[in-house]
Amino acid sequence: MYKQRFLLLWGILHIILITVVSLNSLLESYYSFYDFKKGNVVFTVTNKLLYHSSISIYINYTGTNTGYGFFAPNVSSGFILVYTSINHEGEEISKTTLPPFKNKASIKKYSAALSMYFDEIGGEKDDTSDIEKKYINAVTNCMAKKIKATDKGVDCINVKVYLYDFPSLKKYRQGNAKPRLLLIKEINI
Amino acid sequence: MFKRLYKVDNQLSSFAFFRIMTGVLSIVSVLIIRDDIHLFYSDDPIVPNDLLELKTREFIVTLPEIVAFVQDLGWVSFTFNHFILVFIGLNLLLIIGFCSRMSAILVLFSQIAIVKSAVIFSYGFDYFLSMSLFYCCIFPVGQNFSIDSLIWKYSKPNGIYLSIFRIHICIAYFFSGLFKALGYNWLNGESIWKAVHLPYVNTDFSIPLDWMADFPYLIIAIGVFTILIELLHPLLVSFRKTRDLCVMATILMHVGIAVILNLWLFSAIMITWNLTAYFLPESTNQKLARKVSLNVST
Repeated sequence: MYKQRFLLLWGILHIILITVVSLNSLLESYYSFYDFKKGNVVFTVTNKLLYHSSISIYINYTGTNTGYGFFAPNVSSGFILVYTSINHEGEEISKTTLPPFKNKASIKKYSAALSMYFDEIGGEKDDTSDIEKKYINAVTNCMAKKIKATDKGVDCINVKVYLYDFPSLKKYRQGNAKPRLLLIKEINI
Repeated sequence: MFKRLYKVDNQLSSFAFFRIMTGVLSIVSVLIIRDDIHLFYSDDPIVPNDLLELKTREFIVTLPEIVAFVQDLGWVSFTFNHFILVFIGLNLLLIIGFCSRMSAILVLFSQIAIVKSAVIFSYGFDYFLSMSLFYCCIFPVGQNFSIDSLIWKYSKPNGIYLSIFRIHICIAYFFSGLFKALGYNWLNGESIWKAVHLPYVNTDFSIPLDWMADFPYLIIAIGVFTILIELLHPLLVSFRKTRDLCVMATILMHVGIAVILNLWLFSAIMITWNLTAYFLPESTNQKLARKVSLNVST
């Protein structure tokens, strides 16, 4: 009987936490997407609750610290990184869009990481976003250095980060079928 | 109402299926990146561990920390690859159902250590795998089709486990539908159009999809269908008449996600969740009870 009651209590708390995480994630996405300030009471309260140490440990170790807004509110654009290897004479040796992966599934993991470049093009301009941008630069540098290490005779790697903009359905139907690559940033390593 | 929560018969075979699938998918998630695993999880990954760990919460025990700990204990040659082998071994124990609960706890701890040590490379599947492993720790997953069931005698578990699992799925789909409904591109077809044309998507079969532009209403219908099936999921699975149809439509949606977006593991784990939650094999008693009730009503 005690076990049943304990299970029911845990079940209720577990479901409440899943709902709170989902609600918090929903509000965060909504505010970011429509560029609203995150001043909502529900958002503030749920955020404080989820950052409480014991709750944070629980949701992190149960995998429930994720919202369910996959491909939402809208499907966001993707990013493509072009790594160009340049030799001592300044000539282009090779060009690649991917690190030296051998398995296709690795590309899924890599493309998940590329979503960090959204912080480069949007968001609030504060100290946090500044730190985030420095972090993104550091990650980009490291990935480029890894590629540099695989090519012999490479003096420098040029990395261009592009936003991949496929024409909308409306534009495509009007005859504009060419995807655009919008340069977000460029780094030489 | 609470009595109904506990009255779910024959959940054990479903949970056995859930345990086996979770273990299998966990192993597959490592094996499908076997040639590149050093680029994500090693002492010299594509992004240095120090940098990756900046995105990890302080209380998470990460893979580099575990490796360093084992090395400090005296096993100096212990590497990331050894840990991955241990991880696969623990998953095999989970699959055969040997000390299922303990195996699940160890696999969950290891999986969190692996994923969180390179959190920027994680995506939806990793979170659902963590949740699945967590449920394997709590639910009676080792009471059927397992070594445990040959050794121990278990009393019949109550149905609260399955009820919690079903509520979780309903919340997940409902919020997923709500997220999409808040955007404006899911209702005009642009989201589906964009999703299938994203970089690194539709590369496994390279299915030509540009023809869809000639049938905009089809794309709009797919978008609306996705929102409806997710948003109304809690309602549709509540009634026996609509449940099977809803689950089949959801599985169809995940098959589409697997084939076109190439999110195979994510789709596989979602299909596993749906099958576990709703496609319970009926016991003879249940079948008999249903037949009797049908005969009485006619």
